[in-house]
Amino acid sequence: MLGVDLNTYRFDYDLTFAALVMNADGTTYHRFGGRDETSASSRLTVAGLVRVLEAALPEHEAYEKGPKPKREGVAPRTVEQIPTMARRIANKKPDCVHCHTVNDVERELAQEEKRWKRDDLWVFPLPEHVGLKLDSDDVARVVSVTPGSQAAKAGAMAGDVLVTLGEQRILSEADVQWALERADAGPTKLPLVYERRSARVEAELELAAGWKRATALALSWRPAMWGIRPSPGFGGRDVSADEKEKLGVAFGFRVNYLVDWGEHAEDGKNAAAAGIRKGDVVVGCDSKRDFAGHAHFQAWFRLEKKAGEDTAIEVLREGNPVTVKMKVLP
Amino acid sequence: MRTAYVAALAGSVLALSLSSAQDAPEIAWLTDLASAREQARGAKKPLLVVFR
Repeated sequence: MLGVDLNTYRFDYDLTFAALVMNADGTTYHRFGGRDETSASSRLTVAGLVRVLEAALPEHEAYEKGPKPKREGVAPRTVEQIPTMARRIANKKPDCVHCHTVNDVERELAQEEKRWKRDDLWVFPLPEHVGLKLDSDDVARVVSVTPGSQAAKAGAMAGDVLVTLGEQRILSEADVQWALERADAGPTKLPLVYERRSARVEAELELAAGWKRATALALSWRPAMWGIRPSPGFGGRDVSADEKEKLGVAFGFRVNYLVDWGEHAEDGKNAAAAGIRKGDVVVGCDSKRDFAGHAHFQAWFRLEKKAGEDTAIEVLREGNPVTVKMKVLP
Repeated sequence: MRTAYVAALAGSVLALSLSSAQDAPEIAWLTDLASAREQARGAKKPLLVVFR
């Protein structure tokens, strides 16, 4: 991302693949690319990308023929200009700055300046977050609507074809996510237009205060998760499916580090003093065992645990169950 | 005749194959963002920018 104008190329920087369909003047017509906690490519299909490319062509032709919107003179802004990144570069200029680093250094700066809020974690909500399950190959088409969700209350139904959400014409999940990202944290109303049997329906998503908040599982793949506290002070690798079967557990990760570096080394010392050891297989915490994996455990601990409270880490040590009681550090 | 894109790959080169029948065949894969943008402007073509 070195030298890339962040005011022009705007997308979910946590993604490992993102495509922008644009005009050369910097106008973005559509975005493509998205993921969830299951994998980095869980929401990418070639058919979906081709559909976006094809459907955007007439849009581009119309844009070229029509009057151009006035573009305010917004100065380019690069990752190098962000003070927290500038300091990193001063220490050692990297050959490559990954997209997610933009979010990392923005968050670090906001934390330094005491303006970061925990709600800032919730970015680019997936369509399902407002109740819309979309067709992965033709994502304007609604596959199902979660009963009771904001989309259901707006009247959306399976088979509807999304036209616009907010000001964004919808051709991709990323378009939906962009419209949701741009919406206020709430309470707010977001205009939704969809087609049902060729008839145009105008509706609104009613979004309550805090509507962007999601689950630890939804957060677990985002690098931002690692920057929040409290932290357990240890972590490791998920054990294999075979090993889980042998151990008789549905979830487990083998501890392969206790934090002994940086400004939070006390977390690792705390875990060690409580009795966590490298090689332990963590299978639960405070009776919760339905974690999807190590990253989910880490996100859950950071979101749910409160400084000063006692927590019980359930581990298997050489196959034997051991409960490690640990105080959560701030 | 189908309108094509000018494309830029910001970051490493991407081995993306659009070889299906729906392919937009004239996509020109480039690696330089500024160059792609200039080409798109001159050709009045849309621009596809891929970050990975």
